[in-house]
Amino acid sequence: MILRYCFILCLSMALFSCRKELEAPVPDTDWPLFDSPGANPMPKQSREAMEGIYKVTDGASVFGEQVVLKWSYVAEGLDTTYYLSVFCSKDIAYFTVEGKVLGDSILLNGYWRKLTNTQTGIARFSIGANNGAKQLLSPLPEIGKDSIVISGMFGNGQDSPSNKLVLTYQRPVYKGTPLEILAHRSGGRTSDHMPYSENSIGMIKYASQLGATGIELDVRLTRDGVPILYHDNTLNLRLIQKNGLVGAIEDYSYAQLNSLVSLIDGEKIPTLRQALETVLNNTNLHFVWLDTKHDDSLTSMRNLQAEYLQKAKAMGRSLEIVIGLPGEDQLAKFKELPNYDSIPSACELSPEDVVDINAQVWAPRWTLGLQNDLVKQVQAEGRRAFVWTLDVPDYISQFINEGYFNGILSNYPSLVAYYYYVKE
Amino acid sequence: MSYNFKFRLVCQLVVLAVFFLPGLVSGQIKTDSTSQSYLYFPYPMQAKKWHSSIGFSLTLWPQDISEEAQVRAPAGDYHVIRKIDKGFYLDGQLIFQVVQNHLSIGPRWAHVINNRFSFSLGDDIGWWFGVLKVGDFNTTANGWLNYPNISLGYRVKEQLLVTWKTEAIVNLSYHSSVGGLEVSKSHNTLSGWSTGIYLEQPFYKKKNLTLGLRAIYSNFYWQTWSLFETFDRQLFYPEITVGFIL
Amino acid sequence: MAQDKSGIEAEGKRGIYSLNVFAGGGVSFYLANPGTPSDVKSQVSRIHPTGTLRVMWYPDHLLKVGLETGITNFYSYKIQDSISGNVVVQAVPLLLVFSMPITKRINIFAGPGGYFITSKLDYEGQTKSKTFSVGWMAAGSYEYPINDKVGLAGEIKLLNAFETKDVSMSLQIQLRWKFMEW
Repeated sequence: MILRYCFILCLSMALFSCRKELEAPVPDTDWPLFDSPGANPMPKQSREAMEGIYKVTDGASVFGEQVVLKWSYVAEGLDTTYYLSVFCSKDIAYFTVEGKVLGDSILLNGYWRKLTNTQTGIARFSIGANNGAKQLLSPLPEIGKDSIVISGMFGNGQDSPSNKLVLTYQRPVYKGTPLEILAHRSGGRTSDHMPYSENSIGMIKYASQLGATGIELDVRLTRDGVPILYHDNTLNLRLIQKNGLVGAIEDYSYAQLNSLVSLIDGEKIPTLRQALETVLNNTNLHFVWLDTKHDDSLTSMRNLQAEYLQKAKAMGRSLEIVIGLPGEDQLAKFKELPNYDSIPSACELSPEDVVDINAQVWAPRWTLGLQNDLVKQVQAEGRRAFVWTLDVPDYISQFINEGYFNGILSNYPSLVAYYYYVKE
Repeated sequence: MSYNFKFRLVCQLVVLAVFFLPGLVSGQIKTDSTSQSYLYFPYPMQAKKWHSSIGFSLTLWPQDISEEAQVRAPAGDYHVIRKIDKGFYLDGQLIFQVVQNHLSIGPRWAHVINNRFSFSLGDDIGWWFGVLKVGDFNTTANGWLNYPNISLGYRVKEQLLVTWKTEAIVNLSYHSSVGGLEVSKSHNTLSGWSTGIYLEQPFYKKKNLTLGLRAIYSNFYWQTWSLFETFDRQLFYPEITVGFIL
Repeated sequence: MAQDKSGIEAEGKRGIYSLNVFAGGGVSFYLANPGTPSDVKSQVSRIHPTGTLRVMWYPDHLLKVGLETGITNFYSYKIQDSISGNVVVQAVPLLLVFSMPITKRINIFAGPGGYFITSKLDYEGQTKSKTFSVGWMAAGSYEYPINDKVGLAGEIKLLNAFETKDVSMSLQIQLRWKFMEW
């Protein structure tokens, strides 16, 4: 009898401790052929000519019928690494690969990931001389339908690639009405098991590979007033490694956080200064939305905004930094800033508030729908309208094809990029 | 917490088997077949009468979905059963949270194995709907679900009943509307499954109480519809149920 | 505690209801991975004193229900780096508890609830910060009845704060007092 009651207890406890740990570790992409001494970086004109819409002639059941290829880069000092991203609509999949020239062929090496789940794997492709490489490597590549065939293999997890994938060039990417593709939380959410923690320096560098042209950063202040990047209002195990510290992040000084707190993937919580430095020096991102997650003075954020806008201008970089105002409290603090109506801002409140503070951007929540009339009204005033935070594939498609927004903030910038670039 | 998931699942089944096995060899127990003080316990109903319970359930959302905004809102739970024919009865349940509600109904076939053990097989159809039109939200959604289920009952004492219920969660359709935009999906996919232990027994006077612990593993849980999450991963939702049998 | 036979419902009549308060103290051992900062040297203490206060309603059947609170230090660690310091993780549970006797003197307790967790940091300044975590508890006790109203029990208890991944096991000596009966 005692035994049976104990079993009930054990069973209940076992049921309630059953949490599958989900992970999507980036696979090891070592490929001796790709790293061989004869393999050289791809020339600029080859990279640019490769961009386009490709038909998936083999592997469509896994990645969909059509994909988008776009290049981005990460700069580290004098070294610049170029990444070719493949954006898919099916399961919000993407590839990120590097390219090299070996003889008269092009090799592509990297990995793929599906963001709806945790599937990932190695990806290795090549473009043969007669499948477009010769044309791509010429000084003035002329690319037309079916002129590039990228073929190769993809694997699952750490397994060697054994599944065939063939992509055939169809047409260039859409270059009509511009759209700001904004990545949420500096690039992506921790809950999507990205390679880096959300709101980390690594994620800022990674955002372009996900198709982002800009990022949103969540800004909070430490107890001693240092602007840092952190989304939630408390230290919690969703975002940080366990260390016994709990409660509001504003309770801690920057020195305490910097010494004792690590983000979920081991990174330190970055300061806003470090983040803007990274945007400026390591990426080609040209829009930064500082989402104000606190209701204290905005002076320190404003000072950093001004400083980095000035630095960008001095470097000849096209960079916009706006202070995001999600609520009445932040709006009131914003109005305390000197000359607030000349400070670039993104206001999530009503279009009237947008006019009141002369915000550059009106940013309504996506759950209000397209609001085409209001969007056009705001645009007629010389402002832009960005919608947040739109993640549902069918609605992303509808917002891009039926709406007039100038920008979309999403946890899935790769999917926004897909639907935008496939427009005709 | 870092055990292998499948290993733990096997452990649970072993524990459950060990728990129930002694009943096979234990002594006889008086079965009061005329009383009806249970709703989960899989046992043929004697009379064509309505039997119901009222209570609440509390489901915790995984942090992957709820993030910092931990949702801990209980849902009202009205549960009713009625005999259809010998061995068959209908099981209906209304779970209500005002902005989102879920109604399910389905037949059960119950069979007595011996004076301690009985089981039932059932299949419920569920419909949920949600309306959120305040502040920044102009959204509605609804969907159909199917829950094939099996319950194993164990009579510990005459009126102390333990039920182990397991069900599959099958998504049949989904429709949502956001500010006039519509998305409809018709699918028949296994979204996940759930398993739970329900204890039914007298509490005070002649009132019986249901206590349930349920583990839901699903890539869609209807109460989270307003978050419009896109995960295709089976996340864990623990649930506690308390019901007072009327 | 022993099942009160006189309290079990006779046919058509209700039995005796009572309220019982449990007060106890003992020692807790932190079972989960304590989690310390990776970049600083630290020394963890898992064993701490703990206390429990519980009030249970005994209706006229097996199942009893009540509320439990108390205080426990889940774990603490000393930071032994270029700057020294310490962290203490303390919890005050507030739990809905169900209980059943399984033999004359052995009872089990289990229930869901929450934990008010405080972390006290003394490192580069002092910080005391709080959070709330959903969780549950399970316990088993052996009670020796001293008289009709008072019993002395030994209890083994598991506390689990679900969201902060804090788990401790404690051994406690408890005094039960039936302070109201009707």
